[in-house]
Amino acid sequence: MRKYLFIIKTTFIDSLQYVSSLLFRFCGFAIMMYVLTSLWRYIYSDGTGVINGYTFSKMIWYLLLAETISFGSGSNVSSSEVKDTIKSGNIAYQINKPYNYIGYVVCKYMADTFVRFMFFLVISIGLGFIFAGAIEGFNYMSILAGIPVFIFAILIVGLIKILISLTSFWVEDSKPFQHVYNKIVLMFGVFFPLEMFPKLVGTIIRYSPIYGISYGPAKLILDFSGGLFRSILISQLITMIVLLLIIKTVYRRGVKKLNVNGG
Amino acid sequence: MFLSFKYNLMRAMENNVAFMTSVIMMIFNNASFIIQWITIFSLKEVIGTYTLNDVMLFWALSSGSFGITHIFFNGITRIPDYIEHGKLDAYLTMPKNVLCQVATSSLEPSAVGDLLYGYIALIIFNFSIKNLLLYSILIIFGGLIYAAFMVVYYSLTFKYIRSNYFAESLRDVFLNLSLYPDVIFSKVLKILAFSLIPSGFAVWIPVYMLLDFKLKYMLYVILFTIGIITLAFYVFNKGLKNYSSSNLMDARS
Repeated sequence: MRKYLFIIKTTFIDSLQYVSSLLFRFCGFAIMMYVLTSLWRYIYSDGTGVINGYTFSKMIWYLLLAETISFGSGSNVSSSEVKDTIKSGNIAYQINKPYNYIGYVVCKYMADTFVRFMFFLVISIGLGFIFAGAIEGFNYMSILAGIPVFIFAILIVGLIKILISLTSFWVEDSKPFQHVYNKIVLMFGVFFPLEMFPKLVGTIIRYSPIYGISYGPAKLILDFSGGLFRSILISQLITMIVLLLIIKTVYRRGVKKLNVNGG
Repeated sequence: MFLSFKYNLMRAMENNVAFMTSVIMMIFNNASFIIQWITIFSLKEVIGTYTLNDVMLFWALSSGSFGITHIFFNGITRIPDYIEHGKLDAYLTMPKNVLCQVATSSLEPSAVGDLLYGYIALIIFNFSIKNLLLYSILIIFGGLIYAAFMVVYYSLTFKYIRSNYFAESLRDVFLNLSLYPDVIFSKVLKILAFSLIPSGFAVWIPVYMLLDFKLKYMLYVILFTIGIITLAFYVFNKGLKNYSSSNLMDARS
């Protein structure tokens, strides 16, 4: 366990060196949020107070919170780094180290993501107050409940990206699959809460990982309730267990298939 | 220019699978936003006076123009890197215009997907022979405006190192303004879209033209395109006078 804590510590210190580069990503984030806010302001401008249970303010806060997870978990560690390690053959040097490679990647990803996530969270809260004012009916309990839910959401995003990257054992480039995944989450989790979709689509989202990584965490902050908290946690735990099992199987099969030429 | 394009395309297609994957993924990427608009139009019947088909014109024109720029003039995106690392030296010795050489020095494979998607969106949502012909002309103007806009802001690197971050932020604004209907934006942004960040001339006016063609709109676009291209050459050439060689030993690929 100590070696994994050491990985987290060193990656965290390393990530702090690159905080300034995140400032430039802030511009892209703020511009996108401004455009989406303009769109929703226009939609609500005809006097529509509430759309499918969301006021303008709640809609913007939903967008910001869901985007925070999406942008905050955009670390390269779980995507390009794993893909490049496999493609370049460097994985051969990683599997004989005295740690589990997947455990190593997860620790590194979580440490790297912590800095990014906190950065985007602060920015989002600022933008939220500017664009939409305070959250209506905000319950302070949601902050406490939000901590494990957001941590698990980030962890699940990382596990999904690691799983996609592991396909590099078989396909030449897993990047296109990462793009497909990002777009699915953006369309069905970030841009709109599940109430905005037809019933069938909403039900599919409810039982998909999107519930635990996008809709659930954002909704919990907006409309806290004990029941919602429990249902999100259960969904997240099941998703994590299933993902870990699949990753373990895929990784074992991938390593067996590995054929690296020495040089 | 066409010779550069030919060689750039040959280079990009060297790995056929990677090239095709980039193209297909870009089409998928752009097409995924149809879901966003179908959902929005299920909540509100029209956005301003625009229906779903009309909004898809913004997407078709933006993708098409973006595709044209990054297929033919993708080298513009490398201007800051060339300036900062003294890589312009290789182009200065050639008996051709430096900006033209730099602009046509590379091709972005995924931009082929953007261009194809533009046509697909037009054919699915707004097909007519007239639209197809007009669209093919308008994306050329849109692409030229977008390319010239990038040259102007990327040329700031001649004066201010690392100003490319600022230019890239403006590029994001340009793209975001292009992809959404004009009616959702405030007056200030609309003024910007017809001046400092000219998405209005590159995409909004072409959308008006496809919906209801007026000769005066065409004249605005042609005149603005000539103006911004002239400005781009002026700013780049003026900046080039500030450029100092790094004595970098490099060969053009």
